[in-house]
Amino acid sequence: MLVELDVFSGRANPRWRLDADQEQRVRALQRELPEREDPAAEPPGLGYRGFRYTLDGVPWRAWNGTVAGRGRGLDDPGRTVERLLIELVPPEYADLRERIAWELDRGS
Amino acid sequence: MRDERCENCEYEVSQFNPDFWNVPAVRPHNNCYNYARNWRTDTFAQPGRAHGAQTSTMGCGPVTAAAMADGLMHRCDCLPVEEWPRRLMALVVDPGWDYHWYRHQRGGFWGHKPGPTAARNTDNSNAVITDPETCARGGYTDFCGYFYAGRSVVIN
Repeated sequence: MLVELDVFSGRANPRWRLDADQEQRVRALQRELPEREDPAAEPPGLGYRGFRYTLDGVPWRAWNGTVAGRGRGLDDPGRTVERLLIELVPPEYADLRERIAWELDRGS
Repeated sequence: MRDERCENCEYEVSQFNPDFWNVPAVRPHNNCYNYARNWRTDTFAQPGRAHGAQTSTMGCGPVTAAAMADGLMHRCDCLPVEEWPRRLMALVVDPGWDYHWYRHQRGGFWGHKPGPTAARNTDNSNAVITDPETCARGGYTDFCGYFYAGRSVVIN
């Protein structure tokens, strides 16, 4: 599964592949999330806009405690999907891991 | 239009036309530099890359130098009418991480396209951008300056 950290404007966003086990961890987390009643908010233009990935044919965005895709929204108040994907950031983007973790902790 | 900040300099402002940029065939492949230069390359254009002068240092100085290798000129270094259409662009930097560009549009506001997202004329507070120096820019805290881009500017 290809994951994109949607964070840059000028530079290309980091992208990397998850292996089957990692993909299954994301899928299992998502299965536990309840449906939202309200539509998911849109991220800002500049700065951290979440993680984008396609899982089982559906494009998803995990951002700000919501996992949204194709008209569906899942509540993730603990930001478990985002935190897992930060954990799975490959070493070449390790400098970004700390920054995004900071963004999550401050609530963006 | 006459540049109010510069004696005798003129540039052209274009109609805000986000629909051109926001279709699936264009939006993911063109970034803020494409939008501000008003040139679709489908390569996620990088300052200086077309001229072997790309930088990986995300600061005002290096990104400015890279863009000027593409042919951009500092504001008030007037472009001749032969460079029509001449655009006014603004550069900001998220120090150490990234850069971002805006383009002056007809109607007195500024347009931009944050990375692979949609082109728009609003800032991070959802306000129409009338001044790129003071608009809400998130971590893009360093305002680097204004530039003209004439027709001879090549980006990739």
